[in-house]
Amino acid sequence: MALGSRVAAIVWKDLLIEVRTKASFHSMLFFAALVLFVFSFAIGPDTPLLKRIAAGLLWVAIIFTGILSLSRTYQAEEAGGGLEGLRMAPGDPRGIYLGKLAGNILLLLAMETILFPASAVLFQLEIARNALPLAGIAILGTIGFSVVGTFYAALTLNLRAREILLPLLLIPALVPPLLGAVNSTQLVLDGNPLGEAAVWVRLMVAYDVTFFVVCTWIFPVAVEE
Amino acid sequence: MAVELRDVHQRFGRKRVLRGIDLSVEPGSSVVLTGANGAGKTTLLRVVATLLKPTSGTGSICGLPLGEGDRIREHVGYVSSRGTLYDDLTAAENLRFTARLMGARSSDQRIDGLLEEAGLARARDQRVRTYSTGMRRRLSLAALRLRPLDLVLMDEPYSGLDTEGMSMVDRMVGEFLHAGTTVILATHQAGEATRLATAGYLIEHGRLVPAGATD
Repeated sequence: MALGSRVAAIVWKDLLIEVRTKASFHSMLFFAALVLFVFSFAIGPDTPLLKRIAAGLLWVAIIFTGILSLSRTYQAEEAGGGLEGLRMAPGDPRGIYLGKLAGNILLLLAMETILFPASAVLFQLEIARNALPLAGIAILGTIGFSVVGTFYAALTLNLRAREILLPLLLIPALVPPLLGAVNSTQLVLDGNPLGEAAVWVRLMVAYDVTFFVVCTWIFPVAVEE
Repeated sequence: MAVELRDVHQRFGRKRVLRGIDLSVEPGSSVVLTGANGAGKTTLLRVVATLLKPTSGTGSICGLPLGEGDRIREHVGYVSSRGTLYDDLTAAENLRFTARLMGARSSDQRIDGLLEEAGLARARDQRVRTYSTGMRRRLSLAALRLRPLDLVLMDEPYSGLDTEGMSMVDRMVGEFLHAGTTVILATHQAGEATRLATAGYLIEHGRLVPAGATD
């Protein structure tokens, strides 16, 4: 059977459950807002300082929120006996990874469409003028995070201490895309053209492509029992 | 052979769950596995379903080597003791998702027909979260009918079912056998399936003991 239709089926199922329950989206949104508020209160009303570190705060909020979402990635499957149902499907098990990955990317991007404007208000950032380059950076950063995160979420699925292990494994692996996303976002927010952030954008593209290939390739081994 | 296992062992850490399983199942036959909790029935079914890679041993399922799980699963259906359902989807949505995942036909007519056969037509659009254990079991079993199969594996199919539900399982087993599908079921409540079975095995401490042909 075509890999594409299996991927589409998993995305349809996950998004339908999410739209119906809003279990991940609401908790992600509240958590991200909380992180941004805590940072802004901790730093105080120093607007120039907040503007200087806004990109870092924004991406820290996205990463923390994303980790929260990742731990729920396979939750619906767990209730019905782990990944068994999905793994019983004929054909390449990589379809499970690709379906879950697409769902995670869409969910995180939906959350970012609220988070970016919210941080613009909170930190008095000019994002409307730079909407297009910022959208590009957000997409690249989100893909990088989700590619590795979806893989590690599957890897830690059957471990007892997975809530601890997932961020422990994931955060060090996310240093390159985090550096790229923070630096390129800050450059764009500072009014520099995207061209000046080219080196960081290239880093994110290289990371996304490399880890997409590696994680997709070795996923069957990660879920094999 | 539909199933051919030779000297299959399965360990989980230091625990030996299967110890030298030899099993041959003819195509179109029905095998009932019985045994105490923790004896290894589910583990054996999961090995046959290619969900679990045995620690050692060889075998083939539907004529394909055990290592070719991707191809074997085109011919095999497995319903676990817990079933694989999504609480926040309706019965019809659960069947439609499984059909799409398995590459089977998922027209409304087909889905409605299966729900009717399972006695769930009136609960078609209810979320599975609201279902009783018996209704969930019926829905899991109905999902097995979505595509033609050469081998069906059922883990505790009678669990949580009332008399009507148990008759439904028996009827399904009969229909599978009539269509030439091999059936292996693990159960405590053998019921009608024991009468339909061509062979029975007892699993004791990970070892398979033939209970003799019952046909």
